[in-house]
Amino acid sequence: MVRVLVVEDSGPTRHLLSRSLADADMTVATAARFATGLRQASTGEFDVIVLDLGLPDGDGLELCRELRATGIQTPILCLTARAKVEERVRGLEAGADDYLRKPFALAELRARLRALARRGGPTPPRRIEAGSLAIDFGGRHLLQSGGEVPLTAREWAVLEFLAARQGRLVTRDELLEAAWHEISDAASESLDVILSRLRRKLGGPGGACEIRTVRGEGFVLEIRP
Amino acid sequence: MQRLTELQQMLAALLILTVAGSTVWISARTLHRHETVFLDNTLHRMVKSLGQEWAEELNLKRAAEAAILESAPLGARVDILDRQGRTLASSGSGPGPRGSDVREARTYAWPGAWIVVTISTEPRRSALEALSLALLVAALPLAVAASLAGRWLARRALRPLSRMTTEAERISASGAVRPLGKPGDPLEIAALAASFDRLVARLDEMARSERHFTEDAAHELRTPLTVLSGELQHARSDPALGTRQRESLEHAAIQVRAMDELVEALLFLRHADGSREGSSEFAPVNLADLARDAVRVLLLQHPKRAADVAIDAADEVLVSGHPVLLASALRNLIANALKFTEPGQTVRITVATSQNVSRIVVEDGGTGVAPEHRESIFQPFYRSPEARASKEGFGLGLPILRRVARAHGGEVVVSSSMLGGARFELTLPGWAPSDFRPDAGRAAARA
Repeated sequence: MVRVLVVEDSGPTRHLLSRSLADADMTVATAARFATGLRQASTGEFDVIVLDLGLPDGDGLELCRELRATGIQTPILCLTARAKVEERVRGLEAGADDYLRKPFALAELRARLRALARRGGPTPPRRIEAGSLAIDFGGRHLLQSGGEVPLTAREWAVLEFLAARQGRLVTRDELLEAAWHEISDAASESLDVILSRLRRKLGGPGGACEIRTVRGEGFVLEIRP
Repeated sequence: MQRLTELQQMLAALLILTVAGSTVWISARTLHRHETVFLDNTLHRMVKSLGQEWAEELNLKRAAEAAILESAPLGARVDILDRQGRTLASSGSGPGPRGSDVREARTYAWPGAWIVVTISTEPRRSALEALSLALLVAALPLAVAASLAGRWLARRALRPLSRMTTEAERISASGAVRPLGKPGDPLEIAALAASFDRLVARLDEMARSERHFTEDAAHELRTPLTVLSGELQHARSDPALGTRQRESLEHAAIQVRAMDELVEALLFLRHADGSREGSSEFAPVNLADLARDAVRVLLLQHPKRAADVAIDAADEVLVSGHPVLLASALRNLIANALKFTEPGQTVRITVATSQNVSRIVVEDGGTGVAPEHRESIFQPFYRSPEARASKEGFGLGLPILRRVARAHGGEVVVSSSMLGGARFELTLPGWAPSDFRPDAGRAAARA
């Protein structure tokens, strides 16, 4: 059972989250205020925290910072009304692990929470530098020999998921659930297209950063310094 | 501004030249009047003198000679002629001066002789010439100097105005309000600047409070929308749900998403209007993927139209833009085409890029948009007769779509398609590397 702490001031949202996460076999505790949220999170009893950034009695990012300062490494997913890049970067710097724009798809929230809970500690790299390649996951910049290579949100989702598990096997279904929140033929088709684009943007086969296919099993991101 | 200084300059020059010209004219008139008086006086004196001499001599010729000797003034030639015009006596030798540069006055005097007085106009002409020359020498440089001074003065007087113009244009461009006036401005200008400052401040306050209201309203709408959308998803996850209930929940979910996109557009356009802040949510977006996703989702809702829809999209057509709003824009253009066509009529979607311009064309074999409605359909609150006759409105309207396109530096237009119906074309600038150099850039340069 995944144990989730929801820190959210809006009653209806809190109510919705506790019911829908409970339906997905998660144990949910809730807090409506900054102070109670911080107290509950400090117990370290949770696998993952859902944190609304717009709390009435304190800045959600401050809560992240305080938790991290006291050594609590529970993964935090932030809910925000806006999806600005700077906001994302600030959140990651404060110690948050993931970001979701409101309104969100429940399936996506569940998939991300599961992924965060499973990870249980080790955070994905902030930055990968290999050969002529530099990847900044916080600010979402991929540079090939200093030139910017554009990646769409979905391409970042796939790359981030693979990078968090670099050198380890990732199954097709895991990738679909993380980036598409559904396991369907259409999503699977898109995944193939996106993987081939990602491989090209990372510098093609034999590059410093390569997505290798393990036939019949899945994919591995390999980084050769 | 330019005209005013030029006018000032011309006026100064004109004034100097008028003064010079009238001086010459008045001098000429005065000299001419003096000549007339001199001629009259001379005639008068000669008549009197001739009468006295004749009384003494009783010989006309001798009297004439005596009168001339006695009374002819210097600077004039006096001739006394008998009744037949023969010269009796003359103060000058030879024939009298004739031609354009002489003036002559004559009178018939007792006891029967003509007295003719002739003077040269040469002194008057040369005096006027000298005066003109003197004025020309003095006035021309004066005119130039005065016009330059006038220009300088006008420029100086208008300098606060031109500074205010620049400042006002800067305010229009950036939206950052700064006072137009400056200490030391002339009184009249300072009053104008103060009035403008009050007007600008008032407008700025209005715009600011409108922006705040929009932002507050949008944020307040977002919380219930999150709950609404979540509750609908939660309800749909119930496996015991009947087909009809599931369908109506799906319709509700589509409307909630449309509302969320409207809120997003509201927030985005609020920024795009005043500042460039709206573009901080820009990210690389692949229009080809968005079009394929939109078609896939719409065909799930309209399975009967699968054979009608054709999509021709490159693998990757990248723009820098707002992911949610661009997805919404594409979905709405395609949904619109499906809405205004009957089953069996084609809807064709083309996504391509050329010369760094990304182009999405959605065209159909429907009834199309009449040329007179092609601009109006992008106007707020306008609904074409076809739209009014058809089903409910959906998502971003065309006016918002156009504003979103323009806020991305693009445009959306409608024309008629070879397929017989409407042809909507959305153009957006292609993706270009940002000027902003991220930390990763420095890291890569070090590596």
